[in-house]
Amino acid sequence: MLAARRRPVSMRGLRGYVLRRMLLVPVTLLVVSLIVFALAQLVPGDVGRAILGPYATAAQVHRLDAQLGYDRPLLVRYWQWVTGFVTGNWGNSPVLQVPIRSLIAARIGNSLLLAAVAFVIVVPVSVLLGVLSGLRPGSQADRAISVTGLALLGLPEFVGGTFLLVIVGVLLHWLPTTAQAPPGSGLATRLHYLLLPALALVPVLLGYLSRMARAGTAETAQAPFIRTATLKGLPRRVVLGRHLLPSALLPTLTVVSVQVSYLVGGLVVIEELFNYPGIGKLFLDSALTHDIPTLADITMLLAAIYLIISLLADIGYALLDPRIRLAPS
Amino acid sequence: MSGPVLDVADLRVSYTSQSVPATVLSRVTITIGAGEAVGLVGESGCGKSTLALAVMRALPANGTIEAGRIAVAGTDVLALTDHQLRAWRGSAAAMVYQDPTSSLTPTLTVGEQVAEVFRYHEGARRRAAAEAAADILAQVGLTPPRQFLGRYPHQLSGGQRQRVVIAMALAVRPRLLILDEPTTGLDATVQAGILDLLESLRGEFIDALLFITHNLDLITRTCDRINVLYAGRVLESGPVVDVLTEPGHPYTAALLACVPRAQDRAASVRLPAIPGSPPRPADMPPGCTFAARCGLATTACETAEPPLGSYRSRAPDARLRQGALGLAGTAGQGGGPARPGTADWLVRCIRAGEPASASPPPGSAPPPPSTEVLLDVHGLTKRYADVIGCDDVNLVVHRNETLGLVGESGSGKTTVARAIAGLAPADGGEIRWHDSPLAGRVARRPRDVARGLQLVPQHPDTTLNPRRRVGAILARAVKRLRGDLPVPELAAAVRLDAHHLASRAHQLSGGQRQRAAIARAFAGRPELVICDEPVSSLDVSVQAVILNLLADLQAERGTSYLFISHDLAVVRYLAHTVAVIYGGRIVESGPADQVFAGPRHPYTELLLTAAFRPGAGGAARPGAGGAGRPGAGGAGRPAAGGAGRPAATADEPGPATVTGCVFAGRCPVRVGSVCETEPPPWREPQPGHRIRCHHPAFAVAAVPGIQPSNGDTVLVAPGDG
Amino acid sequence: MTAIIQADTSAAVAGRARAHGTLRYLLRRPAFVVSAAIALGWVVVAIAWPVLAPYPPDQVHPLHAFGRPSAAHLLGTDWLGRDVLSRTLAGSSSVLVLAPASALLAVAVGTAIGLTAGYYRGTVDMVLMRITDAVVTIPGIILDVLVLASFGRSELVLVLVVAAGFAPLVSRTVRAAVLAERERDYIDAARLRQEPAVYIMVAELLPNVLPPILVELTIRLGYAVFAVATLSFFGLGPQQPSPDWGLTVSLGIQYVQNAPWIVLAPAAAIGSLVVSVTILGDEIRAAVER
Repeated sequence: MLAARRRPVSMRGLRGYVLRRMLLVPVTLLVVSLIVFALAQLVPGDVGRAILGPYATAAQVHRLDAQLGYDRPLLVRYWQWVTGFVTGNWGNSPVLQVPIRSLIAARIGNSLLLAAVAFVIVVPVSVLLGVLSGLRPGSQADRAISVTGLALLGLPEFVGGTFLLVIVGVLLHWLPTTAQAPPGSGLATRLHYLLLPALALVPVLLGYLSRMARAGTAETAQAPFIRTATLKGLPRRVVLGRHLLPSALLPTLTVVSVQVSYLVGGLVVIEELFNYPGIGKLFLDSALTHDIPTLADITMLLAAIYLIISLLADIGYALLDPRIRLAPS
Repeated sequence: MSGPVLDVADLRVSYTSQSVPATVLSRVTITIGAGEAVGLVGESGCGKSTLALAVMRALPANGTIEAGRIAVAGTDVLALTDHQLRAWRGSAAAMVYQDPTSSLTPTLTVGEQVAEVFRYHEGARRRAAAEAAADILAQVGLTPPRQFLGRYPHQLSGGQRQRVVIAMALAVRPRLLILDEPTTGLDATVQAGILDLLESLRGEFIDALLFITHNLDLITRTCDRINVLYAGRVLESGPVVDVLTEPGHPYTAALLACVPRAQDRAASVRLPAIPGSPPRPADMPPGCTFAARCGLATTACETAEPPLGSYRSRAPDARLRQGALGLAGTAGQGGGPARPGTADWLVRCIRAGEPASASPPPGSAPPPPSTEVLLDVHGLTKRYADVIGCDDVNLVVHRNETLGLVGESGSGKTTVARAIAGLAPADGGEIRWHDSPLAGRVARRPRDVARGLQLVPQHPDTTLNPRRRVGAILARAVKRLRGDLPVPELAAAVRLDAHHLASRAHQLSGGQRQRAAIARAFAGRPELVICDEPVSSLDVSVQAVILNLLADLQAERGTSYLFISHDLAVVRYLAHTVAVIYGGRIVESGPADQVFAGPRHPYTELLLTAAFRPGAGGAARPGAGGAGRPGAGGAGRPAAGGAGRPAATADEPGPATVTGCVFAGRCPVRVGSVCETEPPPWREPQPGHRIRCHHPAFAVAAVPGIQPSNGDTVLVAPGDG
Repeated sequence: MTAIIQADTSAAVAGRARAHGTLRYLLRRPAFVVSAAIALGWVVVAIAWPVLAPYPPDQVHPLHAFGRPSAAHLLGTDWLGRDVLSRTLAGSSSVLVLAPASALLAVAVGTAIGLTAGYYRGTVDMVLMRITDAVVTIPGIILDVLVLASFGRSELVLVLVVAAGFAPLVSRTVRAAVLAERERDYIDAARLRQEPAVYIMVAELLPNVLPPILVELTIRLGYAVFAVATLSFFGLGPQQPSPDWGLTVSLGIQYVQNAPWIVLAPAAAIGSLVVSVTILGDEIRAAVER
């Protein structure tokens, strides 16, 4: 959770750092693909049987296996899968009999919109709460914010979502209980329908981000350079705005990737809870129907998104922190 | 003279930890007049930083000023509102403290941080503030200032950062400047540069100065008056020269005595150490706080705390000097209250000025070093990613011998120690032990080498496994190293008793932990013990105990030491031979007496001048400094590089990737471009005393034929200079 | 010499007091006391629910389906007329077995990996950390679902996969602690005595990295409850007719417009358990790091 804040360590200046950091992406993705392949393609044994069920004949199962390529050697299968994934040639879903790409393409926009609405709500609120809390460690306000944040952090999305659904949707009728606006609605209506599911995504992210901001603020407030700035006789707003906040909030940027990880997990839950046609719902449906190729491709896609976002976050950090930007090369 | 600039009276400060208050400062009275520099000296934990923070009203949240008065230039600091306090800080009083590494905001340029002071105290516009910032940076020796304005703190060296902090503190000319350990953590030569700077700023920029340090030497250089703080009390206060020549308080006397003097050698004397450790704030004794450790203490000392009474030295010459300075009349013998702002001499002791103990205790002489070579290091080289750890290091340690390896931080001395110990193997070179080659990794060495070659590490706080009792740690060492002494006897040899054996690290003081580490190293009768800065993080009074112990163990067992230190006084006391390392290379080596007597390598010269400045220490610390410059070729004061101002840009060891002399960039007696292009030759001005330098002054007895193994060619051209 | 002994005796007392102090400190914190009481309460319920539940949890009463909360059924009845209170009490047992099992397994495996990687560094460290990086790249829930979908749904697989997702995170924490600890001088001393690597790892390092491991255990416990409940909600955990909380929410959510009590009760139960365990973990972390 409050994973040690990662601070990229510079060895050979910014350019070297960025290059090495970028090289890490394909390497990690390669290891991910091995893990995913091992989990998804090796173990199940009889894919055809799993898809066709117990009543199919052995011949039917065998034909399906051959059709899906499961009779070929492992290395060949891995190679075909990886190259296919990289070139965008993702094949068909054996269960739905449609190209996996079109399945994903039809849903990823929905998920991104939902995620964006949640992020727009979460970021300002949690940074504000975290900074307020971190400036007065141990105060009543800090304790209240900290304990609430912690409680939100631990609450599974489907639990918070259920409460929101029952209280805001069913009992108070403030917001629609379905996530999807009627077909043909404008953006405003769509956002109105998305508000409840987005709010259900908020708690965990809010808990996490506010605690990060609080920790950074409280820790930086103790730093000797803050004492220097205070003893110089600078006004408090200058000490806070110029000296404290840049150092305090920079590390929060690097945990954006962790946020993405939480967000993806949350999307699966919330899309299932609200029956919203996003990529998370597709993922879970594929799991329940044993659509392993679709599962594997979505997993790879999510891992790639995660890696690229954390790469961008780390590069952003490096650009904003002069200690890395101007490190001697 | 108007009233004092700083007037602290009867100050009492306490810290509350887990709802238990503990008084850390009690009845502290300090005054500083205009133009006066006052030193506050004390060992760690005595409350000296608390005093500084109290004056700035910047105590941590759990600290409370319980009683007393603090006034700066007539302003009652304790009565200021928050708003007034903000305007007052930085403009009326400013503070510079330890640890320049983290005292500047990492995300703002130096220029922005200095300019802020002008913008918010004088309302200067952005451009004018930047101009003013450039001016003050030039004043503190950061020239040309334009170059520094746009840099971030991480792009500066430690010494440069501290100059920036000083510039910010002095920017709008505060009446009072507080320096809290401003040079601790900096190398001796950098420290000397900062002190020179402060000296040059006195008068024009600095009015009243409060200088807080644990280092008596620094006080003698910078201050007019001294206050000795112990366990939250001022024990002695008076003119620096008087107090340090004829200390009135037994504690001051003991502190002065336990630093090794120039003539002290481990072979003949032990250092007069102060037994025990200071009381903790939570359990202060009812009487004198020093009574428990005092050789003069009587029952009266233990029952009531003595008042801070006026004092005049019993020594006739000191009285004379007071008379000559026209100060004698201000304080009657044991008489009335002290007048603030004058050079009164005050001592909190009922037996002030009585001689504490006789001359330093003699030590049993160790057997003289033999000619049998124990350790022979040849061409030791280690490179890290882009830095040279050490380069072509040659060292020889004989049986019963102490070799002192001297260098500043980053010089490579710890790299050498860890390579010899087998903890971080070198990339090249050979280590021979009893004339047979030694594996690089300790795990690959024979068992009896592990037994014979041990290490006493630097940090008393991590040297012992915190989860285990000292007895268990020693028992394991005895077992693994096949020691012949039972644990209690081993402990007794380092003056630890059964009670200590049952303790864990956090229950012991720093000195006790270091003794346990020494016992652990001696568990298997080692032949050579590497001591890596074993006393550098201990208070002076504790240092002496450890140095005595090392000397005793050598006398009893004939153990050899490779003693690594940045402290020349300590090395001079213990070592038979000395090697000076800079930028990963040995620049000078030889018998200790010859190295300290000179002629010396310019770097050694710089170190010595920085450590023992001529005249500054007075009789208390005569030092060897100032005596000899390298032969006839000496140039000005080595500490100052440029024109008048210390050369701040080159005040720390540079990158070690050089083809010529590693010291060329800082060398005050640089011969010419040859220093950068050609590796310097080894010269031998006296038999066994070797100096690696191009300077012709050493060329008298040049040693040809010594070929550094890293491919350097030694050029010993007669017309070299 | 008396001075030393006096000073040291007081230090020894302070040392012992510190160990006791952690518990006393925790007992003075209302957040700790309340959350510990709730968590402990659920442990009692998980064991004693057969005594506490007013009805057998799977007693079906089709005629009383969708009963509102009443005196007979304090929390109402579900779509089969089963007593919601009884099912909620009984539903505690599955998560309170699966979550601690996953957390313990994760911490055990993660500690072993972290110790090895941190002590040996070099290639061992690099390989272990690359694998860890890769596992962390896949969001935990996604990995869990992928494995449960391909290996088949079983509670053993569920425990294994949740533990496998957490173990890399634990190993990172342990590794970081070991990397800091192994730079300390007492480790050098042990190496100079030529102690075997296993001795240094187990006898010298492990006791000194126990506090972060303890903290990991308490934090992972909260996350294990989170993950196990979510997977049950996906239908990948205990199967019908288990009274498991997550499963009940996922089945009951379709009746939310007319009978919200069916999902509110188990949701509140999960909420109270997971929040109390999370706060408990954080309180222990704060006390240990104090």
